[in-house]
Amino acid sequence: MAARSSTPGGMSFGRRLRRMHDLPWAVLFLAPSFLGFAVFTLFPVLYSAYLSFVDWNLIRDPVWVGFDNYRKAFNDPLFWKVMRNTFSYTAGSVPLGMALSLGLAVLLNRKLRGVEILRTLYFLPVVSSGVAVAMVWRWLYEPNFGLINYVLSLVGIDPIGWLTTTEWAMPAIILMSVWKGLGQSMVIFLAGLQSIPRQLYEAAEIDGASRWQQFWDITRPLLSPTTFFVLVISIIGSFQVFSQVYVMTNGGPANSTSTIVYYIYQKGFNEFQMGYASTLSWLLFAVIFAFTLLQMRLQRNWVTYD
Amino acid sequence: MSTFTRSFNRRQAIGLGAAVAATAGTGVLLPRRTFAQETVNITWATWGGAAQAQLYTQAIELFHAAQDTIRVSNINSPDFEAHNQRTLTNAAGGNPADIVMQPGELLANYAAQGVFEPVSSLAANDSDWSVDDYFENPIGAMTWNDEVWGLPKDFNVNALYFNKNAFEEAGLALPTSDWTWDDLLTNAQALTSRDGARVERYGWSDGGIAPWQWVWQNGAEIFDQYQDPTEVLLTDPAAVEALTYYFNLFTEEKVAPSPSELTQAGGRQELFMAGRTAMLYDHRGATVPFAQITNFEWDIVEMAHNVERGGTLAFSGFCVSSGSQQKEAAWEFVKWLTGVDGVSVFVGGGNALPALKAAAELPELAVQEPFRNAVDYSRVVIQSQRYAEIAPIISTEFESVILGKETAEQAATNLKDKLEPIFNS
Repeated sequence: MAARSSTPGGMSFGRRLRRMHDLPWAVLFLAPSFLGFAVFTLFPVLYSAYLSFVDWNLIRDPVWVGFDNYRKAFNDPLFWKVMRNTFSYTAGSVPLGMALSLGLAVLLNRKLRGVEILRTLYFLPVVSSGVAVAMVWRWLYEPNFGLINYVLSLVGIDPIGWLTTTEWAMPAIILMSVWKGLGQSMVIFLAGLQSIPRQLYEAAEIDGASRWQQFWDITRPLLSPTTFFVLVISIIGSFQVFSQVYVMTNGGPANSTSTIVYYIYQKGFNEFQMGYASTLSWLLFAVIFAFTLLQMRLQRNWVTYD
Repeated sequence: MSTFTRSFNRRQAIGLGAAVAATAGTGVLLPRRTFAQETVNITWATWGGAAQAQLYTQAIELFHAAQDTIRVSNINSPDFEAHNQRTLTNAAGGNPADIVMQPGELLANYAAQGVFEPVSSLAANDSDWSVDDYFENPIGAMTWNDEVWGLPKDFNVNALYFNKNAFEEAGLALPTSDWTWDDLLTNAQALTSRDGARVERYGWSDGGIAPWQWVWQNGAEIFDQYQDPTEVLLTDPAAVEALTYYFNLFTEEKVAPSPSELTQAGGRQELFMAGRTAMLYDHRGATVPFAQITNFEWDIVEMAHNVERGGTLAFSGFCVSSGSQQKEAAWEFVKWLTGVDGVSVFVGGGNALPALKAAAELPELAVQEPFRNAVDYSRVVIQSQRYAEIAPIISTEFESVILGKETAEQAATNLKDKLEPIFNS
């Protein structure tokens, strides 16, 4: 019986026939999403790979230049500067943002009165328009009449050129970005915290574990998959920072806040060097890919999935 | 049932109905709408805020009222950056606007790539139009490689705006057109007021990094030629002296807000209107927002000078796209826009100076004397095919000087080293 209907792959002839019959339907239902993906993602990605090897200003025909754009990037001091700026931004915003959002999530995971309102308030900046938020922060940072310098003056601190000096501009952008993104990581951490079984804490309490011990020995390891996820998306997000820089500083003063995505935008849409901008995009992709790969490797040492 | 009735079934009835409707839509059955057949639709790309957009609408309405055959649609971008991106992408996509408003700096870039149609071709058989109808400066500014690439909308030169109340309160004599650099500095120092480290009012501002006119005022030159320059002349001692004097206003004297401070404060004009800058170098367009100032009085004189007078000339014009399918109609509209009627719309509010000689003679378009005088000594800084590439390099170098990261002399040397290879590549 089995020999009659079985195929070498183990699938019955009837099932295979049914599958063949379903194939056109499957193709039909998949077509819209595949078409969208092909037109809006696959083709632009492949085309940008081609563009990274040409010199093209949108109007003249593209001219094949081989690896010249890549050589140009490696010899471009501004490329290295914006990469350094991007790493500084990542190094400042990711640990600070993760630490604060984890702390906040732990605090807001308790059964407190009005905790839902607090969660909403902390999440509010995430859903606010990035450009509007950046405009408001630009005013807060104003050196002579801004609120932040006014508060600092009350304790005798001289006005700080938050966005007007090369020393403070990047920290100012990091601070604003951390504030804006805090709620998003907080919500993910909250979800992770709520998936940890309560019994583990109850057992630890019976065993006399302190709050810190509970956090360190229960929360930290069981939250590690969530922490890993937040870390990966935070690093990817920080490498792609743009709107804050565009609205608050335009990359200044003296390129001190110019990041790689802002530089790509400048090259592509201000200077219309589409080939070079595509090259920079692929270099950014390579950096993000390498970092993500590294994190995937390193996670074996600290992420617990049990 | 007749043959006709038999053969005229339901499907055919619907078909005939559709045909009638379609024909009616094209105006064939409606003699009253026959003009629609001759109507030419053209597009006009511009940039500007709400007030500017209103002027564009007003211009179109007046043009439509003046004739029946050409209908114009305006495509307005909120700022120049967006407009420039749209101009380029539309041209690249083979669907350019018929008419493009174009500022001076990037004219050469587009002209060199054949994006615009030269005026010599548009006006080849047009006896109504002559290049002599326009002032030399603005028509020269629309010229590149011995071809005129569009007609000048208007142009702008700078003068010194000052807050009269601030001078009176400080017991200072009001500025005059005879002021030298030292007069400007002395008064700017006296007018800058501080509360501890906080600056309550700056003595002077020019809206950003604009040292070019200072170089000319000191008898030096910026480039060997303004059109497609090959050499940077800023390392000349007189140019370095001018740059040093200019940047000291920000770094040593601290009488002027830095460009970053201006961005944060909302802009140079906003700072002046709020009484937080006592003097401002700005173009004629500033008279429009300043007309709203009610809490102090202001006036205008010519900019200060040193060895000689000098000023920058900003301009924009209207160019017909080489890819336009309606060049004749576009040219007609461009002529109208830059003629007396069009100029009255744009210059009537005091936004700029008329480029058309006939318009300048109209009493309602009279220009204040400091601006009128400045026309004689104001020039275009640069027209280069590589402008988009060099502009960020220039601003970064000058910003570094304002931040005290390098001297004006170092910036001049760096600019020479960085720009000349680009100019000559």
